[in-house]
Amino acid sequence: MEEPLLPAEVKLIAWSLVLGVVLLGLLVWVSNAFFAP
Amino acid sequence: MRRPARGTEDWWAVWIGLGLFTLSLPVLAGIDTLGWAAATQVWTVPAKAVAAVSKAYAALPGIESLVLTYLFLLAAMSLGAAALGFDLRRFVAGFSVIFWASYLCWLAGNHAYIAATPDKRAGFGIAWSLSLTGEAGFIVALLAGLVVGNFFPRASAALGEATRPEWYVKTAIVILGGSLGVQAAGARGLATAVLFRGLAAIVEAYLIYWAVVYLVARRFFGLTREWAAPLASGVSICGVSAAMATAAAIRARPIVPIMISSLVVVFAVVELLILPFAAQTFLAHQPLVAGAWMGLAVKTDGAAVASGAITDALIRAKAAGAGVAYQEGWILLTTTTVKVFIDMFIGVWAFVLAVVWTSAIERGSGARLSAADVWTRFPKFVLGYFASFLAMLLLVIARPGLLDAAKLATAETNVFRVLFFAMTFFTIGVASDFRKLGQEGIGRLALVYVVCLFGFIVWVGLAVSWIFFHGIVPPRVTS
Repeated sequence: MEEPLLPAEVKLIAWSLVLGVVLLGLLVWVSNAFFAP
Repeated sequence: MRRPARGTEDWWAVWIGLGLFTLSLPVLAGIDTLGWAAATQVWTVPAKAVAAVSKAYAALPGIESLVLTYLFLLAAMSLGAAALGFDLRRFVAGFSVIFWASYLCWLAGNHAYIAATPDKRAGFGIAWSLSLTGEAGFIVALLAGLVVGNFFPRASAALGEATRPEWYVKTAIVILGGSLGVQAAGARGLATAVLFRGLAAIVEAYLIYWAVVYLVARRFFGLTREWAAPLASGVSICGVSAAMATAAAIRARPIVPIMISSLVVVFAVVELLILPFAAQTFLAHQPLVAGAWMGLAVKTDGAAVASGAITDALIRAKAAGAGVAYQEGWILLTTTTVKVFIDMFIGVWAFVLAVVWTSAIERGSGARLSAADVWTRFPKFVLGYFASFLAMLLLVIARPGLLDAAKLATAETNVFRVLFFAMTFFTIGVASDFRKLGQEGIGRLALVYVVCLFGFIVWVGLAVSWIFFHGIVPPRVTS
């Protein structure tokens, strides 16, 4: 049975991706600035 | 005869899981209360397949250890069954058959020709193996259960009272929490740079992989939410455990995580056979990128760690040919760190999804759910998982000297976790029939899995591994 994407699912996907990209950027900066090998 | 139920399967999974966890704790004070439990090794000689999990019980014959394990689980589960109002006589008989059938499947799956990874073949004196890791036992259990469920309907009906896959898997996940808590605490001692970079894996797996796979599965392949969420967790996070935890959190039918788990195990083997050799060919100059890539791309803990071990050996061998002698184990360490960090958040993610599903997605006709409704529908086993996870994590952080004893404690409870998983697979098979499987569309599911794994996850995993680990190389052998 077809189940259209609900607004809650779209929100979950969008928030996950935005938060993920921002956090990855932050981690790259912090690891290069403070945890360089 | 049925009596009124006291509690639910969900709560009894918490009590039995935490009960087993609690029974493992005296070993921290030197009192080994669960060391007699039967652990199964990858084997070629049957006599060496089963032994007590703790060296303190080395004198106990394997078969006696196994019978004790059965009797102990029978007593624990019968207590729960009695409280839940099941027909106890039918439950005891059904559980006994299910336990032994599941165990034989697990044992078969652990035969070296089926389970041994390429780095272990020499140790068993064999020239080839399917490299499926011991988790192949789960597939064997599923197949055996399907045979019973489809061709022996009277036997299937006779086992009905004990065919409780959700109860078994939730108990297993509560037990899993303690094991992951110890792993997390043990990882604190690793090199800080590797550890910190491992955090990127958590963000990548949960926030990017999951969201993209879920979107692809829902939007482009038309999968329902019930299938898409566990599939996204299975392919993004940690295979079997994640698919099962997610399915339970969103209250999917038991068939869903089982079919996804089967795909996870099969494709993890494909990855295990390809990716380490690709890493040796293309990433020999970036050893820790290769290690992180194995942790991010290869699903199931067993296959990921085996991939890390093979990659470690292959890349060091290639470097040695060029006159560079890297210390052993750093590539594997990176793989393990990445994998452990991802595993740690299975419970958190199950919690998040449970909240989203109960509060926003399953509100039905638009009526708002009250806090009491959310609590009623909330999967309580997640609380048991957190309790055991945090207890072990905080204990080992507060008393680092207890790390080895804590590892033994969780090795002992893991014996029961594996058995619960095996019984889950077997009973799902018993409760399923082939016509239903066809109707659910395993082919389309496999297609989504392959497209997401090899079209997206493997490559994004490589890119993120490169961003965070390039330029970091293992120390060299100094002698």
